[in-house]
Amino acid sequence: MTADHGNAPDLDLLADYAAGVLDGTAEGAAVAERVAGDPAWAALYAALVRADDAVRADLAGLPPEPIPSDVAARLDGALAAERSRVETETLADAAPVVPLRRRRPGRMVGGAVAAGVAVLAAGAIGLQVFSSNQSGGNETSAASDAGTASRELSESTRGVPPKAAPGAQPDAAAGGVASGTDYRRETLATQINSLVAAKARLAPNSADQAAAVPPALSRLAQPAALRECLTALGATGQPRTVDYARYDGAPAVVIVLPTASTETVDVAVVGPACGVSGSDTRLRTTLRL
Amino acid sequence: MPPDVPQHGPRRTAERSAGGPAAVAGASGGTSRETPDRELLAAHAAGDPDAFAELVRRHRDRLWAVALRTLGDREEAADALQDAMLSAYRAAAGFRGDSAVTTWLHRIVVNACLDRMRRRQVRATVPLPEAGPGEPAQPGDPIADRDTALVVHRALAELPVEQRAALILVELEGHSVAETAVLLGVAEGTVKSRCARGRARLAVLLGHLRNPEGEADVQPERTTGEGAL
Repeated sequence: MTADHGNAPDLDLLADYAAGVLDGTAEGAAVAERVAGDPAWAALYAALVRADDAVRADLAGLPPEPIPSDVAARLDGALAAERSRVETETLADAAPVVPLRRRRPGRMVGGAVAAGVAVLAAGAIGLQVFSSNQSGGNETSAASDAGTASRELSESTRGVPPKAAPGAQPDAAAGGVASGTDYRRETLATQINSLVAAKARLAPNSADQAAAVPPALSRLAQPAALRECLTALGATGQPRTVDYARYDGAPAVVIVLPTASTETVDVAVVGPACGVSGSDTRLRTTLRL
Repeated sequence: MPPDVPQHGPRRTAERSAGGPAAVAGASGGTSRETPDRELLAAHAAGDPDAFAELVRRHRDRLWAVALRTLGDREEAADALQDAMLSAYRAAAGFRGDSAVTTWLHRIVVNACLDRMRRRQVRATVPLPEAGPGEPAQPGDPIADRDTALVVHRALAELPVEQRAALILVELEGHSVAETAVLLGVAEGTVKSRCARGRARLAVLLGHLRNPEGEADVQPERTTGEGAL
């Protein structure tokens, strides 16, 4: 571009030039030449620089624009409605998955007890700890309520490949258990405290109850899949406990992660797709032990 | 063990005044007692029912100011802000953390505003109940601060929307050129150009710029285009 001293000054070009937008360009050099050689360009450039300060001052002097109360209320209402809609859809989606009776607390599979699984008096949760070197479920020993629950669980999830459930190999290193608990948000703190306390009292490799893993969660009982899930959650440390259980009636893995404080735990409740499509998180919260 | 414990530490809502660049300081929730924005968003994505509402409460004044000044119409701004926050609510799980949460929220709001402007092809103006319609400010007039604000708002509304959005974000909301470029999805040079050309047009509209020699037409072009680059 060459300077054309016969042209009227171009305000946009001068604005770009003044702001340094044209620095180092041929167009910038041409504007500089015009400003240096054409009185009209020089005058407008000087006036623009002076006026720019006044414009900035005008803009800076504008008063704040706090959101009006009615607009804020309307926004809050819209978000609350969205929250209700999502919760309703989530429950509707979850309901058909596991139409399982609530398990009566404090009752255990006879075979599992014989194998050394602790019965928890305080927490009233039956826990079955998995062993990495044992495989195969013990469904035939299901004479108690817990066994019935396992059977019902399998029956309720027909359509899942049959080999999925009994073949599950929970990650014992992560402390995998299948408590049969149906976790609820309102009772989560109590349930997690019971879970953590029970896990601490259980001897490792005490029994193999892989069959108790809800079939929908069998993938996550594989160590590699669980690691992918933990990665999706952004978890860096080894979980304190992993419970292949339910949340609001739907199959869910409850993962208890350590925090910097020994008094708290980071609890993630995830669905069957964790690690496949994001973390499939149903709930994430920090709880005090 | 206590039967029930709080699931989250105390959160302090940070209500801030909107508008001035000073409001930007600490906008990401930087005080020691305040849950960081990023954690609030993660909590929302993880199912915390209250986290997103708190995040919105924390930033809604500034987001509202952007929407109102960009669209120049109260109802349009309210609709755009609501649409934007619902979009953010649903998209939170996809937030990758490449930018600050506030930048992400602003981007969604600005896009909602620009979409509305382009879709309706309406150049809205800020209502000026005490000013005559369409009369530009006369240079040198003694104008009270209140009226100055009205005139400035009206002049802003006269700008092409791309210039207006860039000016609002940089000059009024205090975002950096780099942040604004990310926010608008354009190059930094484009942001600088839009701001410079926008201020030049405002200088004319507000009476700060007259051609001292009377030899050149300095009236800005009435285009909806954007700056160079």
